[in-house]
Amino acid sequence: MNFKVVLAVVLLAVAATVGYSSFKKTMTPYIGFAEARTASGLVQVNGKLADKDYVLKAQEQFLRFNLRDEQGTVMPVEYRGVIPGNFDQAVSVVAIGKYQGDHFEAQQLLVKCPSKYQAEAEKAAKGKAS
Amino acid sequence: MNRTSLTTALALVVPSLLVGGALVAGGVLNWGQVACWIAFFSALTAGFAWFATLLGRDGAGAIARAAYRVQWLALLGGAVFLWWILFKHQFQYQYVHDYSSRDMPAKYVYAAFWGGQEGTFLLWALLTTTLGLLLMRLKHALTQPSMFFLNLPVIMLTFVGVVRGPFLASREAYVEGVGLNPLLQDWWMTIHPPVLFTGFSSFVVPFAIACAALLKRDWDGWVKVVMPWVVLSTAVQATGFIMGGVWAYKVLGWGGYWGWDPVENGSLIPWLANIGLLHGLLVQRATGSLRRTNYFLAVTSYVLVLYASFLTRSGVLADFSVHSFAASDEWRIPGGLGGFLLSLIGMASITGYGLLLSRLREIPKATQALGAFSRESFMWLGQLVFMLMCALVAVGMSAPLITRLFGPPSNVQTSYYNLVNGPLAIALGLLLGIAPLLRWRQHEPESFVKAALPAAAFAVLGAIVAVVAGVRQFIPGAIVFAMAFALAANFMVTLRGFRSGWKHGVAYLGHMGASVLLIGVIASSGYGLATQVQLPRGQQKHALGYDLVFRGMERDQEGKDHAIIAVNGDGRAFTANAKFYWSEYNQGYMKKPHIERFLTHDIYISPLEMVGGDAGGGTWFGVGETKKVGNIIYTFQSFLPEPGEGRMKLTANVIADIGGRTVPLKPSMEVSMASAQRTMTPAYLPSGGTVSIITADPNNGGRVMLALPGTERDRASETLAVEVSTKPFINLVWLGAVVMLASAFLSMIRRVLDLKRAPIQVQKADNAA
Repeated sequence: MNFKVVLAVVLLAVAATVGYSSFKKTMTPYIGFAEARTASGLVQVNGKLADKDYVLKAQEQFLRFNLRDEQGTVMPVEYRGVIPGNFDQAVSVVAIGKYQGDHFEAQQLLVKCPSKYQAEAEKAAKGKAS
Repeated sequence: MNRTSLTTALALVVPSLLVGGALVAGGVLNWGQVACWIAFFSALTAGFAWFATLLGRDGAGAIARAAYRVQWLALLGGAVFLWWILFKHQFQYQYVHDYSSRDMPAKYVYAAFWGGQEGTFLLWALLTTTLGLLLMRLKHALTQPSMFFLNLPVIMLTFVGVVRGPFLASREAYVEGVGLNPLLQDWWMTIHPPVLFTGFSSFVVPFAIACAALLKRDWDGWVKVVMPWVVLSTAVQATGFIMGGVWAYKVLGWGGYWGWDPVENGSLIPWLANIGLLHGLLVQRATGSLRRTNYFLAVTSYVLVLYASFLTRSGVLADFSVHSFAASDEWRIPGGLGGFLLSLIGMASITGYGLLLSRLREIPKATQALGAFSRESFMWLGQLVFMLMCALVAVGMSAPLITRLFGPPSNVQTSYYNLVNGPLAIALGLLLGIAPLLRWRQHEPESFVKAALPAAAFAVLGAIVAVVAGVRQFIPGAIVFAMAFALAANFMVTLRGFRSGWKHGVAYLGHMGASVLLIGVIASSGYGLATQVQLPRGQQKHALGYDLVFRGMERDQEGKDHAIIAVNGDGRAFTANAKFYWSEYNQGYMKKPHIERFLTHDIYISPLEMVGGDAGGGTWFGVGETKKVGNIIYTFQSFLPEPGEGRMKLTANVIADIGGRTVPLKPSMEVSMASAQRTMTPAYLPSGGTVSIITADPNNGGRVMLALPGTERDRASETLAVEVSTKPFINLVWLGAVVMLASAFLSMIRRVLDLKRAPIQVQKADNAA
């Protein structure tokens, strides 16, 4: 076989292998709370703040709150790091991490606080659809 | 001919203006919508006329061109009208209300044009049509059919202008607009989107020329025609995302210039396909091979533009991106932009890939196969690397869609992109160095080794420097080695090229820029230090060898707060001034980092959060009592005690009135019975700052002492959390980018000159012998 074809096949094989394994390794599935409790590796959960009964220690960079998913299941979440300032206003929280012991240990928090304007626009868009 | 054009133009313009004028007078439409309708009808007319030319009616060409010019004028008129209503603050237009306001500086009013989806579609249509106007000037057999294919997406874009244009009436009678998202209120907003959109739009031209060439069975002639356009796309698109990188780095405070966000990936994948096409065309011109691959890539780069627009604008990724543009439901709405973009993708793929498949057997193979050890085989491998990078990035950004097929939708972390592109970057660097050293057709291995030796020596030196500087992993080290090799090899070839005229050196100069850029990327993103530190006001803290003192907040003329931090270290004392203010629009802090530049590195100080202090004193409130502090009126309503086992939790029910908007606040205090230790949980104010309980007196009628923002005691205990990081050799990134862009634009000039000069010299021009 031609030398350059061999090189091309090697390149393809390496790219496919690295691509496939990296994809599997870095995938953080969006899953339900029940699955999150048993999943291994990093997962992504999202939900709403279940209540305002959370512990927030800004100085110690510690946050513990209850997250409720669409089914109404509640799961405690803990997070260590700089706390998003608009946490209190969150309408939806995405937590990336894994379940440990009695809680979900989040490594990363994405807090979505759509502004009142965006909420208005979304309402309008939905109105148009129906 | 001239009479035909005039008649066509008049036949389109006069009735449209009459009908449009009547509709405007009747209040049914406005002039913006009339312009959109004229553009749409003209595009349709041009489309039919060009279709007639494809069937052999050459006379229709004049009609098509006239209609096309009318359409361009109508779109331009629409754009001018949009700017006019923006500058006149005509809030009876929903778009004006949604993306501008009276208090916005003129430059942002101007930029509000592309602040929302509808405006960007108008801009897209206008830019595509403008590029077509340039293509139309070329006297070539492929021009007419190319214009037919270019006009196809234009018909669809102008149709969007008609149904979803930025000229819809407001739903309510507004007297003030919402304004532009503060995130976008930056100088870069005035320049970056138009450049990126020009790049995005420009991919239509190679697509159209490739389709025309396939239709006309032009296997090689199209290469010369398409070349300047492909280089144009490379240059403009790269300018666009490099600008985006600078914006992200200097303003948005993400800590980097590139975050593998869907929006960034979306601008990268068509570019990778396009640069693969560029190198494929060079091979085809010199050796006659890669014909089918080149058609495929020309079609694919445009399909990828559309696919990327679909991913970022339809909202399918809304749950996965921090910077999604659309409402998350946009793609589900019938007639929404998501469905429209899907049909555009369908149209472009069916046309492009359909033509390619129908001609696949006819396309002649090269008379001579790619030589084994030759420049073209290594360029072919390089093209393969670009295609693989493109495919793997596309797979990553489509992860939520792909995984949805098999189970719960999930995303890949950004580390995926680094993992997959790392090994490919090594290959790219080596190929980037080897190919320019080789001759077309066949090269003797012995003389190659001789030519490559100095470059290899330089690469070894580069790798040693990297290891000494602290690079310990294989992949980054190997990338530095490969890129150093590419840099040295291309330096030699550039010198040689410039000796025989600037045209022969510019391309290799671009390779040098790319390798410097990638070395800079490795150093600055992989080997910087970063730490988070809390800075209580007035106290000196230490981070990464720097002394930092948070001096407090200052307000600028625009009413935006800046965090002032005195920094000392690295032989320099400076005051960091980082914009950090609460945005009512985003309900979040807007942050702009302070960047202190050194020749070899940057110090990057990015504010993270304002952490409320442990206040030593506060304001007493009785039950039902109301007090005003700053602009906020607080009312303490009641206690909500929650006795628990071994602890007592007390929550104060406080209502804050912020300019007419009431916000419930529930700061709480937990007392452990055993240790009498108290834990305070503050409540966050939407205007920034926190409210927390200092002490409570539930027995004596019920009183609470609150720490409120804006009071002296509170200010003294402000604590700012910042991230301090270093970006080693970030200047190499900018240097490499500038060299790469300069080379791309010079190459474009060169290809335009080539096109103007009648018979092109096929092999001599690029032979690096």
